Amino acid sequence: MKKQRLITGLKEDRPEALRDIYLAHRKAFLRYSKKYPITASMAEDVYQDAIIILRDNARQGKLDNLKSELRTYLFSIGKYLIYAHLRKQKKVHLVEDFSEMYNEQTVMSEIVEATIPDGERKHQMQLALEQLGGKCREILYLFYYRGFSLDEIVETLGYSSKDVAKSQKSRCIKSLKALVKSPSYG
Amino acid sequence: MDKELLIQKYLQGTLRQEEEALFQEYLEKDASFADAILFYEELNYAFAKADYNQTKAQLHSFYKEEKRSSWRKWSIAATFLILIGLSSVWYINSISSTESLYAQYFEPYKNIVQPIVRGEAVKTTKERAFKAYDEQNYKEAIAYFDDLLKDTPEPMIEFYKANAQLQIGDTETAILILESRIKKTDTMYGEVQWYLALSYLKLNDKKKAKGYLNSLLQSETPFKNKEAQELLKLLE
Repeated sequence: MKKQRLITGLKEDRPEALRDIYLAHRKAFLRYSKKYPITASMAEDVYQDAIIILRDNARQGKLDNLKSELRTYLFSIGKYLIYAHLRKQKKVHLVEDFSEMYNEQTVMSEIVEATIPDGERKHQMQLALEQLGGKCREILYLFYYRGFSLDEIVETLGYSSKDVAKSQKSRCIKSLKALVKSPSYG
Repeated sequence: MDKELLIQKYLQGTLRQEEEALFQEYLEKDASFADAILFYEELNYAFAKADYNQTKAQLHSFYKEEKRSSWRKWSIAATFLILIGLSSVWYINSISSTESLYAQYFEPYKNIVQPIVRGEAVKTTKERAFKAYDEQNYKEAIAYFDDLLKDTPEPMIEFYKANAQLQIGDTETAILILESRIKKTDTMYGEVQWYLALSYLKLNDKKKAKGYLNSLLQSETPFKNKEAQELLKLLE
């Protein structure tokens, strides 16, 4: 089934899946957004954010049993984001209940906030991560951020064993901690 | 239960009830554990942000592709500006492999313009530029190249400047130079194809990388042909 294939593609970080979903609903969403007082570039921005949230939820397995169409799900996220944007600008006061659109009891605002990082906080950690080697970044990303098991990491990154991956992970954490403490610029 | 696993589950929001209790216990009794949690939360936040920026740039490139028209060149420039603006961009799976290919194959083009003789006094800007280039002071070299180019645009100098940009990791600028400043009739056209291929490899754009590798092979320049064929195979 096409829907399931796209969801799987998103979970596996396949660029073509992201692209297919992005292109498939873009025009319809931009048309739909015209009934709200937002600019075209804001609508595009919102649409992209909605796609990212959709992808993140797919990764977390939240779409595995999605009953509604992807488009419905995507549009409800997008609609929520438009409202959030307008609320910020104090253009709407009304709050709609979005929960019924979901096949599970997820609070929309939590989903969105967890996904879209704000501003310039925690710059230090980012600098440290950039200085950390790519191999280290990968293993930490997969373990802590994506929640991969050591077995999955061995498979994905091609380590020879779980023990090797595990000791690599703790070495990387040590280096990262050292970098956060005393970042070397340039 | 392994503390690391507990932390992972906490970050993923998948702690079960009894694990949650254990987690709280650690948190209250062990100050270093509490510190560690803060650290991991920051780590995850940084990953979230990088992931978001990365995906946003990717979506933006789809968007630009959609809008491709006579404005194509401008849109590429705009995409680059956005990419430059992103401080931490990395694809987790694909980039690592293309980046390592880049690292494996890239070496700056040798200075064959202005041979530097040790001990000889350096006089002209051109000599200074290539001295800096030879000594791997690429930022300094770029400044001198810019000086030279201000007076007379010269494809050869642009080519070395692009090489220096690649060395300091400014891939986007290098691409802009290589794509816009050097013509098919210029002597180093073949070499340019090679460096463009590597630049796009660095940006994880395999399609463009392949295109330039092919055009290097078609240019019949005897430069890096073996490597180009190897790379093409690896990119299949």
